[in-house]
Amino acid sequence: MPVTDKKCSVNNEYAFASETKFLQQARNLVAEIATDCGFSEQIVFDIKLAAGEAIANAIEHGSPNGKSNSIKITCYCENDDFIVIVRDEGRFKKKLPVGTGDNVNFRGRGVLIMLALMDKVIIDETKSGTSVHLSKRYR
Amino acid sequence: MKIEVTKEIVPVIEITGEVDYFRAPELESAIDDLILDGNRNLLFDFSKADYIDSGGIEVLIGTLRKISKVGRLNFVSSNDDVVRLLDLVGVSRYSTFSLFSSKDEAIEDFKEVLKKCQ
Repeated sequence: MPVTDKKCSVNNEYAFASETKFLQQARNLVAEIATDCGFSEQIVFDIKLAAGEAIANAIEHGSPNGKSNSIKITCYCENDDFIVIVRDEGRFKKKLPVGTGDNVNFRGRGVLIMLALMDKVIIDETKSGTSVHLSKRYR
Repeated sequence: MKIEVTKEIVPVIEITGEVDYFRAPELESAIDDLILDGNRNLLFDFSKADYIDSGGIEVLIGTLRKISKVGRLNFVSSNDDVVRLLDLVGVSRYSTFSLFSSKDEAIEDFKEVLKKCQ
């Protein structure tokens, strides 16, 4: 994770080159912040998994220029919500789930997981890139 | 992620670490080699793994489709989060998928199944 250091557990932005080798490190960083924010192990797993899906998609599809593109992750608390935003420089490819049960396709399954585990998921596409907002409410 | 394949009564695929979208093809390749060799009964030992994402889930479901109704996949994990995810995405609903909390239990199950087939 070559760019920034963790300075505050509840409001920070991180950036890293769009390389597959950073996926595990990036999702574990989000999990570490969620842990610092007081979530249970189960909810931390959910946040880590949802963020991991968004980051994997950003690396694979959100980087038209490969490693020279960067992925930005922002984590902060707002009111009763813990927010993770994953920003890339491309187009979101994981469409909403198609089919049900055993027939849900792979692309849909990543989104299905995000929707199932988080309280709110917003996918925002612009000309300069895509951002995925994941929100988890403190119970 | 580390993959180790050993042969017991059926092939055992032991996975250590985290199975994610970019490492899943490595797992799929190891499984495909076993299926190409004619194996239809497989034991996935996930007891040393604590994370799987949609990429890993896709490999599991792909394996269940490849072994179809003639084989079975016994999956070992006592990680509550992993088990919860398998339920969530529907893997647990496959009739050829069974979940065990220990490798010994999963092997005993295969022994019973294979005995009935003789």
